Amino acid sequence: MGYLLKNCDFVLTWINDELRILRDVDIAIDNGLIISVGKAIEGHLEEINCSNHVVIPGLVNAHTHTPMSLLRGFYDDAELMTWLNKMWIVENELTRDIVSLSSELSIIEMIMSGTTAFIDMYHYPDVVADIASRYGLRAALGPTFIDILKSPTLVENELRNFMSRYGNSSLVRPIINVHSIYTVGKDTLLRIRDLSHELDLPIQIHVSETRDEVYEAKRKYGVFPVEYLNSLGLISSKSQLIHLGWVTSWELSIIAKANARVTHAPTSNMKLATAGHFPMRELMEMGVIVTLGTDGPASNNSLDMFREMKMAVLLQRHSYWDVSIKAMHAFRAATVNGYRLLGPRGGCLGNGCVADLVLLDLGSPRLQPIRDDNILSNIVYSADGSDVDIVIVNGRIIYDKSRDYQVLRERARRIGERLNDFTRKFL
Amino acid sequence: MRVCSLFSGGKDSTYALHWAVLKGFSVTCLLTLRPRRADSWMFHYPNIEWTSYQAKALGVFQVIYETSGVKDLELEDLRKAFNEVKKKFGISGIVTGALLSDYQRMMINIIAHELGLRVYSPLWRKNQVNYLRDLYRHGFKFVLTSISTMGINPKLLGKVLTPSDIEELISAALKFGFNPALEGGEGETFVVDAPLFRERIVIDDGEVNRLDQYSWVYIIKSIHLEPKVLVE
Repeated sequence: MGYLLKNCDFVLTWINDELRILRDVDIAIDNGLIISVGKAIEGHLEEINCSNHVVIPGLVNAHTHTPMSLLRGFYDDAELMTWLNKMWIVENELTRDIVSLSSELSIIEMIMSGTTAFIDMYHYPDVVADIASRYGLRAALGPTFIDILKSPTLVENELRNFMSRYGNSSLVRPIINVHSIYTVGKDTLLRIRDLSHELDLPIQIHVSETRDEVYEAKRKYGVFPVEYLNSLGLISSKSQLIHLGWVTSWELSIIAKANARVTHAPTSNMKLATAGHFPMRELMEMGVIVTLGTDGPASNNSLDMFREMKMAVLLQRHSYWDVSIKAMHAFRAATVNGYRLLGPRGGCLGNGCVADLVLLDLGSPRLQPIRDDNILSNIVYSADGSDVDIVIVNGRIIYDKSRDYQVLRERARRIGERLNDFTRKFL
Repeated sequence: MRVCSLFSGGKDSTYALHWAVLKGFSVTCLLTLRPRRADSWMFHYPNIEWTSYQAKALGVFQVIYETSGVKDLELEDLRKAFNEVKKKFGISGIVTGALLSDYQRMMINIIAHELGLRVYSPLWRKNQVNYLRDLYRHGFKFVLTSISTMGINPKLLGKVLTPSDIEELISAALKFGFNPALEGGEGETFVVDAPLFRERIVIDDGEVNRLDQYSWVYIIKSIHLEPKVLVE
C-alpha cells in the first residue's frame, strides 16, 4: 500500500547537497520509497490531501538516551560528572519494565515532534528496539561498553545476541556503543575496534565533552582524546564522535582524514555547563558529516529536534561571533546528514529516497508569514514539534495528529505516573 | 580560525591559549609585550624575558614586542603589535587571559576592533575560586613571581603552587579581600608546566626581593627545559 500526498504547498528537499524548495507538488510513495515528486500518478495509491502543509525530510536525532525520560527534571543543576554520578545511582536499579516505559515515553515525544530516526545509547537496547519497531520509528542502537558498570565480556555477548536478533531488521540498525575513554579501558577499546571490524558495525562514543576529560587524557596518555582513539585505530568512517566540545585543530584534521562522523548536542552541552560548543563551521568546511542530537531527556530536557536546530545555530553564533553557521547548516545536519550517518538514502524527497518525511501545519502562527525566501528560517528558528501534523517512516504513517494525538497524550500521561512511582524513592 | 594569543607567561594567558587550541582554533603565534618599566598598566612585567622558554615548550612561534609601559603610549604600542601580527600571520582574532580587568579588556577590544580583529577572553568573569582549583586539576603548574597586596604569604614566591598553597591563597583572598586569581595585580605568576607543554620548565635559580611592606618580587635567574613524564 502506498500514498499519494496531493497538493503539498511547499516541499523542502536536498538535491546534490543544495536545498530546493518546490511548490504545489504531489509526492508518491510506494514500498517504503518515494517514487515520484512533482506530478500526480493515477493508480493504486491512497490519496492524502496535503494542501496547507509543508513537507520536509524526516529529522534524525543522532544522539540520545531515550530511557532517560525517567530522569527528566530529576537533577538539573549539576555539571557533568556530578550529574552522571547521580544518574548512575538510579540506573543501577533499572528494570526492563522501567526502560520499556521510559523509552516509550521518549518515542512518543519524538514521533509527535517530527523525528523519524534516532541513535540511542542505553541499557537494555533490545527493549528500546522493540518499542521503536512497534511505533515504526527507525533506530540505531546496541549494548553499551562501560567498564566501570559492566564487564566488557558481558557486553560483547549482549552485542552478539543483539546482532543476531536485529541484524536483518528494516528499521533497527545495530551499533556498538562506547560510553567514553574515561569509563572504558584500553584493552576494552582495542576489543571494540576488533568487534567493529568483525561484525562490520559502527561505533558511537562520547568524546572530548569536558575540560576534565581532555586534560586527564593528556596527563595519562600524553595526547588528547581523539588522538588517543586514533592511536588505537578507533577513528574511522565507522566512528560517530559525540560532543567534541574541546577539540584541537589537529584532531579535526584526524577526524576529516578518517571520514569519521560527528554529532553536536548543543542544548545538553549548555545545560551541563561543559562550555562545549564544537567547531561546526570548520568541520563542515572540511567535509565532515556533522549531525545533531538532543542527548538524553535528563540533560536537555526536550527531544524536539526543531529546538535543537535553533540551538545549534545560536550557540555557534554566540561562541564564534559570526553568522557563518546558518539555518541551512542546522537543517542539513538534522536531515540529510543524519541519514548519511544512519545508512539509508534519506533526508531527501526525491525518487528513490526512503519515504521518511514530516508534514508541518501551514496554519501554525509560528510559520507565518511564509514565502520561499523565509520558509527555512521559519522552520529552524520559529517552528517547534507541535507544528507537526503527520510523520511517515519507511512509507508508513506512524503519526497522524488528527488520529493519534489524544491517544498518545493519554498514554504518555499514564507512563509518567508509573515512572513517578519508580523514581519516588530516589527523591 | 587563525588567532594570536596575547601571552605573558602567567597562568591566565597560558590557560586562555589552551582554551583556544581546544576550541579548534589555530594558534599561530604568541604575542608578548615587554614593558620597559615595572609599573605597566597593561602588561605583565616580572620575568617576561623567560617566556621564550614557554614558547619553545609549547612549540608556538613567539613575537616579542617592546613597549614603553607608559599608560596610553603602551596602547599605541599594542596597536602596532596587533597590526604587525595580523599582517604577518593572517590572523582574524586575538585571545587574551583577561579575567576581570575592564581597563585591560576594553583597551584590547577597542584596538582590535579598529583593526578588524575579534577578541576572545574565555576567562572573563568566570568563577575565580573554581578557576584557580581547575588550573591545578588540569595540569597547570605555576610559581608566584610577585606580590603587591597584604595577605599573601611571601613564602609562596618562587614555589610551584600545590593544592594546599592554592587553598591558602583562596583563604587569604577571602580574608583580606583581594581577588583569589590575582587579577587586580595583587600578584603575578609564571607557568612552568601545562598540558600543551612538550617539555616542562625547571627553575634552577631565582631570588626574592622585597620592594616595600607588602610588595615582593621573585626574579628568575636561570631555567631549563626537561622532558615530561606521563602520569598514569
